[in-house]
Amino acid sequence: MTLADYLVPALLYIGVFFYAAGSLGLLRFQDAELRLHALTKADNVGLGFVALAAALHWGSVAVAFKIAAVWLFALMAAGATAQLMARRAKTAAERGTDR
Amino acid sequence: MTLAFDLILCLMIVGTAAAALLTHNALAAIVFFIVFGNLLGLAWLAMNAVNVAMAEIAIGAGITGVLLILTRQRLMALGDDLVSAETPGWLRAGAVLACTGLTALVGSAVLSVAPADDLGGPIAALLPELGIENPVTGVLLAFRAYDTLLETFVLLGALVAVWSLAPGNAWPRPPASLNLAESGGGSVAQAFGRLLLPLALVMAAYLVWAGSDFPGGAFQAGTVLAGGLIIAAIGGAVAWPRADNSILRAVLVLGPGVFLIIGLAGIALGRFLFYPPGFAKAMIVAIEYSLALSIGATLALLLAGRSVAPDHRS
Amino acid sequence: MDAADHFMVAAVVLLLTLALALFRAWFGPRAIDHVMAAQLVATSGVGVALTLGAARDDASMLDAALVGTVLASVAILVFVRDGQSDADEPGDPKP
Repeated sequence: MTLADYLVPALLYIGVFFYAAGSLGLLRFQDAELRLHALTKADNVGLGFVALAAALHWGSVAVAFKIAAVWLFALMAAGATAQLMARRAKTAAERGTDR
Repeated sequence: MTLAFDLILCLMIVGTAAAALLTHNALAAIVFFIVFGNLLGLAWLAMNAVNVAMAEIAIGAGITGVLLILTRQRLMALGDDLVSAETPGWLRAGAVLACTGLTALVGSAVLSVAPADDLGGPIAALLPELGIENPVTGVLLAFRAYDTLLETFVLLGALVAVWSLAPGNAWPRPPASLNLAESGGGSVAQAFGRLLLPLALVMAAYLVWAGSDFPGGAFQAGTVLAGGLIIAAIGGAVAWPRADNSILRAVLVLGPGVFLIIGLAGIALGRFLFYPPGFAKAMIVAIEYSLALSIGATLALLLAGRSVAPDHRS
Repeated sequence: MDAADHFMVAAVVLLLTLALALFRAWFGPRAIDHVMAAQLVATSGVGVALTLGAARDDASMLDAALVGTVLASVAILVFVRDGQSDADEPGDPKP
C-alpha cells in the first residue's frame, strides 16, 4: 500500500472526528455563544480535512480546484454568519426578547 | 454500506418531518422543514439524481426556508404570536388516515413499475440530435418544453399576485428594504454581500452552462442568483428598484418572453416549440440563460414582498 | 476496503452526527439555537455531498454542495436581520 492509501482514509476520519466534535459541542455546551464556537470552528476544520482527503483521492487538478472553492466558500460564509449570529444573540439577550 | 446510508437517511427524513409537524415552536418547525429539505436533497444525491438534488436543496430547502423565516418575522412584527389553535382529535386521525392511504397508493404504483421499464433508453437515443448530454435538460427544454414554458409564466404570475397586495398609496414604490436593523453588524453584512453577489453571478452562469451536459440548469442557477441578490440587499449593497422600472420589467419578462418567441417562431418551421435541427443546443442555451436571469430577479422580488408606502419607517 | 468504501463509511458517520444536531433543533431554548442547528445541518450536508461524490466519483455533487452553502447562508442572514421595520405599514388592516 502506498502512502496515499493510508493518508486518504486517515485525513477522512480526522475530518469526521472534527465534525462529530462540532455536533457534540452544539449539543453539550451550556451557552449559545459557546455553541457558536463549536459550530463554526470545528465543523469547518472537519470540512477542510474531508475536502483534502477527497481532493487527494480524486487525483484530478480541476476537481481539486472545485473542492478548494467549496471549502473556501464555506469558510467565508461561516465567518460572516458567525459574526452576525453572535451580534444577534447579544442584542436579543439585552432586549430580553427571543425572536 | 450504501444500504446503511439509505436506511439511516430514510429514518431521519421521516423523523424530521414528524418533528416539524409535532413541535409547538414556529421557528423550530421552520428549521425542521429546512433540515427535511436538505435531507431530501441528500437522498436524491444518494440515488445519483444530482439535478433533482440541486433543485431540492436550492428551492425546497433554500428559497422556501428563507420565505418561511421572512414570513415569521413579518407576522411577529405585526403582533402575531404564532401560536396555532389546538387541532381537534378527529381532524388529526382523518389526516393520518388520508396520508397513510396516499402513501400506500403511491408506493404500490411506484413498486409496480418494472426496474427495466424506464425512459432512460429512449431519451438517450434522442439526445445526440439535440447536441446536449444532460437528459434532464433535454426533457425540460426540448421534449417537455411546453410544461417548462408554462412554469415560468406561473412564477411571473406569482410575483404579480404579490405586487397586487400593495396598498394604494404604496404602488409602485420599491418593497421594504431588507437592511439589518442594528448598525453593529452592518459592515460585516455589507462586506459579505459585496463579496457574494459577483460570486453568485459566476456560479449562476456556470450552472446554466454546465446544465447542458452535466447537472445544473436554469432553475438552480436562477435560485443561486436570487440568493446572491437577497444577501446583497441585506448588506445594503443593492437597493430594490421601483416596480415600474422599465429595466426591471424587461429583466422579469426576458426569460418567459424569449421562450415564448422561440416557441412561436417554431410554428413557422413545423409546430410550436420546434427547434431547427442543428440549432437546438443554441436555442436551449439562449432560453436557459434568459430564464436564469428572470428567475433570479423574480424570486428575489418575491422574497422582498410588496411595495411599501413613503412614510414607512425602515 | 478500498477508498470508496472509506468514503461511504464517512458519509454514514457524518449522517449520524447530523442527527445529533437535530436534538438542538428540537430543544434549543433560544431562537438562535434552532438556527445554529440548521446551519450545522447545512455544513454537514456539504460534508456528506463531498464524501458521496468521492465515493461515486461524481464531481457534479460538489456543485450541489456549493448551492447548499449559498442558500444556507441566505437563510441565516435573513434570520439575523431584526425585522422590526416590517411593522406598522399604513394601510394594513389591524389583526
